[in-house]
Amino acid sequence: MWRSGAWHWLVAVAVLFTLSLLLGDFYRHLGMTVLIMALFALSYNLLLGETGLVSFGHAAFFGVGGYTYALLATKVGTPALVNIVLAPIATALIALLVGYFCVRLHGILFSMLTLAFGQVIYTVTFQWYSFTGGDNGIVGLPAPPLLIPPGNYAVFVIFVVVTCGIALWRLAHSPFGQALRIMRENRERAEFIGIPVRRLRLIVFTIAGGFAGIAGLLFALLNRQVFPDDMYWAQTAQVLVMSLLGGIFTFLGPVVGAFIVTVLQYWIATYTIYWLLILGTILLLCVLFFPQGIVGSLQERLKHRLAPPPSPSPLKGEGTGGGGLVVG
Amino acid sequence: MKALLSVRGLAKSFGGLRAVDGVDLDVRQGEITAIIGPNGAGKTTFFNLISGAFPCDHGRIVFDGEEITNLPAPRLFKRGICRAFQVVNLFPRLTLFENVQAALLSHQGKVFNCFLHVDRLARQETEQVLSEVGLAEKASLVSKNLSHGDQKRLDIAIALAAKPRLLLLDEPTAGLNPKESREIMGLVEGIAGRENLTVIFIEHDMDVVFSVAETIRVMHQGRLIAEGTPQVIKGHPEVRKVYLGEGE
Amino acid sequence: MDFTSLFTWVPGPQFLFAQLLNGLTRSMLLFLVSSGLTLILGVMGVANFAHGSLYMLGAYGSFTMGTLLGGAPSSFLLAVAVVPLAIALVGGLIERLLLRRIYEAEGVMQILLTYAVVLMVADLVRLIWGPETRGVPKPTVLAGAVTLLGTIYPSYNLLILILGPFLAFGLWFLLYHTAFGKVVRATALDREMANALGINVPRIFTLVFMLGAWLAGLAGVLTAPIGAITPTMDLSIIVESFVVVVIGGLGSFWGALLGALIVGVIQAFGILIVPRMALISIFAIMALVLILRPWGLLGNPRALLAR
Repeated sequence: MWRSGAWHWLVAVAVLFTLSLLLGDFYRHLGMTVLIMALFALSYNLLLGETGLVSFGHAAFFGVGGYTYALLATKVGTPALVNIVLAPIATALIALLVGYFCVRLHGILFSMLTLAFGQVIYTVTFQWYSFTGGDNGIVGLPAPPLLIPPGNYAVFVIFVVVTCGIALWRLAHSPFGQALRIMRENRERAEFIGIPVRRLRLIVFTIAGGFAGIAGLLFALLNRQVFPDDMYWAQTAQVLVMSLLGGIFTFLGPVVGAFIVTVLQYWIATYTIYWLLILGTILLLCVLFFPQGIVGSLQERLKHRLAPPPSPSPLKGEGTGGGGLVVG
Repeated sequence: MKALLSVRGLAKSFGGLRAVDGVDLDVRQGEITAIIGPNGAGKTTFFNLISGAFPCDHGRIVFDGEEITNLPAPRLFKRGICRAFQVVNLFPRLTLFENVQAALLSHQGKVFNCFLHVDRLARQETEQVLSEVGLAEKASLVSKNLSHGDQKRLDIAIALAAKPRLLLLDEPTAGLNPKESREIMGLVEGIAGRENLTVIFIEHDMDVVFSVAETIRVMHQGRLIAEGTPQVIKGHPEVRKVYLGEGE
Repeated sequence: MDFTSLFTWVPGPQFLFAQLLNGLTRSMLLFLVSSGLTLILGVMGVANFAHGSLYMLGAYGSFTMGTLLGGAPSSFLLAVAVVPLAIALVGGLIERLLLRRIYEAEGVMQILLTYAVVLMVADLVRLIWGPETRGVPKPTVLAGAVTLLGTIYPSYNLLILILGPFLAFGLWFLLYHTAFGKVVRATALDREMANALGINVPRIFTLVFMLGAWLAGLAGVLTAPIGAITPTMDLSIIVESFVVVVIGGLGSFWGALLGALIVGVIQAFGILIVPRMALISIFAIMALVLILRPWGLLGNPRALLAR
């Protein structure tokens, strides 16, 4: 599976591309949103599931990604391609700055500080009318001519999301990824086996922020607009629900969660405005009865079905069971 | 002979309590020494100081000729100081294999490597460490499902994984029955003898102490009150006073 | 930024005094919510995001009480007496039916559970009371104003100002000078030890959660006549309360009081200096406290390490 990563990548791109050709405008837009949210959720779960850090400010980085593009395009006027490259970099730098302070704290205090930073970023964006347009957002964003036809943009999104997904997958399965899980499981002992916890956390916080920035950039380009609401802390909750629903101790869980939540949101919006009630109910049921999430439970069931006799060759898996979650 | 670890005037206070109060100590290469003393003598605090859990207030620690005072735990690990814990301290939802492998990969400096696949790394070494402590059969189990005795073994295996030069064991036999205690200490002795490993262990079980330790240090109220061979310690008046309330 | 506008109009001392009183009134309400939040955090180790929802339910409960009784003069008193108890009951149900199932799981799951309650209550409130802003008339006796040191000030706000210290005192007495308080503090200190001593820990948890809910409900009822009742008031209060708790120190009772005073007053004056920045300043202060003194002003750094 590892060496054949390129092969998987090609298949995924091809399948998604075919699907996007078959679908009409509405479903293509939905599909793009799902993919972007999947990337956002994957970046979030790098913190939540892999490292055991509960950030309440992750949506701010999603927003910064989009806003960096929007502000560069409308205020600075740099070429769109340059903006596309600069947006994730700028987001990662801001994540580095925020993370520098946050990673010193643990548990609920870490969550609180990420909330505080996230809300500062949100409030500044929301209130600074002359620069960010306040709650009017920035609409009518220019895009590179090549990406203007929806079909072309779909290809671009598929390409970027799949590439990022594979990069994140490799990260999660590298020694670095294992060190993240080691920190999640037991921060104290991790230090005693030579893992520099704070530095590693800062790196993963920056990486997660950068990927969230890419998702935010794609989202901004998809709708050609950015709004401060994209940064609000409730937005972080949404991506948290996605991760949990899919299964935070599995790599693909957040993708599945993003798919379900996004599709549900589109579908339910036509029937009821009480979306939060549904989101809350899903979250409640997940926490009480389903803490391993969909993918986690499936993996568990599969493991029982196959019931491998204890063999000396260890099975690798993020889904090594367990309901709860360690807050580092 | 030159000491592998030498400690001078080490002190640490918590609030008004002088947990470690001016300890001097030299441990030579290959020595197996026990630290004993009544509860609250400062033994675990002393371990925490020399393993980098927190900084000391005063004093110096020199390891293999280099000053290591107040270096954080990860740096000490890199220099070959590894420790196991009194209360089992594992990575509960990971497999035994991963528990040990992570320590090995860290020792090999691969923590920041984002490109290799972790499954393929250090397999043989990991399996070898696990079989040394008799856990090879259980490599794919999740560590939180182990029995207490096996968890103790795994705890020590993690500390041994990186081929330490100085091994610190905080009550390696706590909570074990006599048979398990003998097995674990036999294991440690065996490895120490083979690798010329230096071991400092804290222990309350005097049978274990007197059968395993080459030298014994006695701590009381944050100070080192006696050191020497088991024979010397047995007859040491200060030690008898502390343990038996003799004299005065 | 146009600083000259700041100097063309210099607020008089009376205005500043009134603003100080406004800030302190806000502090008292914040203290009611935050003291419950910090109590639950300290005793149960649960960061209860649903605390703001309980506060919101208190305000809406007071509104319903007013409509049911057709604005009778006694309706406000009745609301003060009945609604917080009803909210305490709701809190008890949340603890019993939901939280209790997952005490074994780790902290995040509890946060997520209370967050699920936040989402559900937010929509249930919209479903029941509609999205529009509601209001409750002040009780007629307190509808007027009094002159205080030459400043005209609404009597209702003054009542809250006076009520606050009494409630704080009552809470302090309950926690530090009654058998119940002793048991609660023992549970907060060491759950297992308390259990070993024969304290019925689950029951203490339920009672503490109900007490916190009662305080939040009371704050909701008290705020109803002077603030707008909207379906989004839960989020603003919970964020402010967490700021208060963090500033004061997690789980610290006096910290909640100090934090509430700081936040209330800063908001009252911050809004004068830079109207738009008041909200940022709260988060900025929280960030600063967390960076410089993560255990809060009155919290215990060692308790933090153990957490």
